[in-house]
Amino acid sequence: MKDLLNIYRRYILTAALLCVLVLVFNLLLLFLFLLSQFGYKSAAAYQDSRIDVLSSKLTLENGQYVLTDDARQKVDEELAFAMLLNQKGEVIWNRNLPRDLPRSYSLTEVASFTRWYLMDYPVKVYIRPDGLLVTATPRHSMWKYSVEFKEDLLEAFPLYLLLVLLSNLLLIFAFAVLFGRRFYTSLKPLAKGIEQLTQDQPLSLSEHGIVGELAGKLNEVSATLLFQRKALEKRDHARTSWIAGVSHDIRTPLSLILGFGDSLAESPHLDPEEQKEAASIRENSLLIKRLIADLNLTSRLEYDSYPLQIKEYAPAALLRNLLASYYNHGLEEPWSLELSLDSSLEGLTLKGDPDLLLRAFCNLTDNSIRHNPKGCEIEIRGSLQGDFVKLTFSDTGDGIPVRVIKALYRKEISKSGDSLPHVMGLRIVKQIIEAHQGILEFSLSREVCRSVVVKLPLADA
Amino acid sequence: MNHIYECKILLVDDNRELLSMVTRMLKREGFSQIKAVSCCREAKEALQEELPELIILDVMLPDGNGFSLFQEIRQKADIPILFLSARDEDNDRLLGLGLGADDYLTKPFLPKELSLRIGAIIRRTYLSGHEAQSRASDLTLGERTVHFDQGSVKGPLGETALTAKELLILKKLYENLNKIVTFDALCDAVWGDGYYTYENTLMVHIRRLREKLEEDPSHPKWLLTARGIGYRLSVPLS
Repeated sequence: MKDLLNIYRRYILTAALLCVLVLVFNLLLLFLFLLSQFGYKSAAAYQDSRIDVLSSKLTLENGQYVLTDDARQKVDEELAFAMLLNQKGEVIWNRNLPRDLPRSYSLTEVASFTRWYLMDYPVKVYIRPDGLLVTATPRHSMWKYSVEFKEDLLEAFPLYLLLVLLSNLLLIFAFAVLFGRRFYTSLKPLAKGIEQLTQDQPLSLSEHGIVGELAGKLNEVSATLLFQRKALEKRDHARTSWIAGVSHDIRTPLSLILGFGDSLAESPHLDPEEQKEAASIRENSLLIKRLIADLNLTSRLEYDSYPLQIKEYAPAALLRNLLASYYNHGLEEPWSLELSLDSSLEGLTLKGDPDLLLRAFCNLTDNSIRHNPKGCEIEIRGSLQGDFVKLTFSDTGDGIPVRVIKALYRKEISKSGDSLPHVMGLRIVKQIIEAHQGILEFSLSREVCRSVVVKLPLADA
Repeated sequence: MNHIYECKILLVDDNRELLSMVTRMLKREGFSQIKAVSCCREAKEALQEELPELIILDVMLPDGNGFSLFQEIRQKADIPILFLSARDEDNDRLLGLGLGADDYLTKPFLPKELSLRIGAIIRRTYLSGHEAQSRASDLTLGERTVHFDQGSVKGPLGETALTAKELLILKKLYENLNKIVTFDALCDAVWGDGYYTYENTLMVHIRRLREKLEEDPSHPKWLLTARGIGYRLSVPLS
């Protein structure tokens, strides 16, 4: 919805900008026009067409008025006629004066044509000491109007102009807001729909109004997405339940193998070598049991069909529990477990699924024990780092080979299978930590990883 | 019933081999009265003949579901039941325990684990009275004896009383004899709260307890510290 508001705001801004641009363009046009009218003509030509210039070229020589040749040519080409009236209103000189025009003018006639027309001829007058010079351009070639303004109005004119301009701008702005708002309201359901789409919610927008067609398309997209998601879920579910089914079927025969293996391993009728073999059957059955459980868990975590039981837990208590349970289940030399927690972790609680996290931590610890049959010291360190609780699992054993870590980050489970058992435990750790929005890091040195770092985000981070 | 091994056990599972294996295994452990059946119908017949004291029940049976058989049985008699199932989905586990089952064990299982769990259920159901009490009454630590019911320690130099908190701590440790009890579990048992606020208080109480229990409190023999984890009451089992 914020995006839409931004679009709205930009729409209004664009409208305002548009107005300003149009105004500037118009002013520019006006300027160009004026330039073409006055500036384009050469200054000399302009000078020549002025009545005062013409007047200066009309001189009295030997009782006869004489117009210079160039001025005469100018009159012939550009003007309808020119005449000079004396103080009594009689024409004392003329050039091209039509016959139908009087040769003498009364005071009222002069007063009239100085402001308007002389028999429809637009005329200009110029006062000379010897009379009044009148020039006329052809009929209908000029529009004349006498303008009168009160002075104070004229003084306030720039202000009025500004006011008009401003009120126009305001009006345009108001229209932009109004139309924008209409547009915004009609787009709002679309924006909401898109937002719903991103949140994976099914959509049914009204397909009426100006955005009806778009809404229809969005509805189609939503239906397609829903269909695809259902198909994916179905496939994931099928895969998960297939794994669950297979592992279920393995469990009962494995119970027999484990049970018989155990009773043979304890049997007094077998010699020690045979007992050892039976014990190996038992241990490997337990390993398969563990693998089945891991396989189930990893497939359910992978396809998100494992609902996390989120609650508040204290990581410090969880880790102490982890260590206590190892020692209480008989962890002894040559293995040892050490816990060093930063005091900042005491009293701190996080949100998550403590059972699953315990499983992840157990997997890491088990790895250290299982892959170091000659024993090792395992250390778990916990501290606060920024917005994370940082837990470091390290041991003094052989470490995790880099190929195992590479296999963990390979998308597909390796088909050769030789590194599969090792990776599954770590894969579960990775999945569990990622399901908690945490980070799993392996610090490598010389192709071997000796410490695994788990970072869990603080509850309010 | 005076002893867990006298318990009558009914075993219901559709796999006959598994039935015979579990029967043999339980007999070897000392249980003598075991009856094994392989479907719901046989189970109901057996129940009509004689009520067992414990039932081990599979969830998937050829002629029905272990959960519904469980409900049928429970309507008639309150017999402790342990589910033994090949289904390890948490939902199944929760369903079983939610229905009121006493325990839920997933196949495959170690025979020892099954017999330990059976023993625990029987003790809890039939023997909790006298056995539990006899366990909690006295504890001998070398020359000293803790009397839990009196809340005191008797030693060569006379009798010392234990405070209420010291007694609670000691009881919690004794319930988990020879096992590490985390700081958190101790604080929860004594103060009903986390370790954070009681860190020092717990340490003080442990020191006082050692003064009362140990010959040399600075080199404790019984009440041991598991560094960074918790405490352990270490008493060799006689």
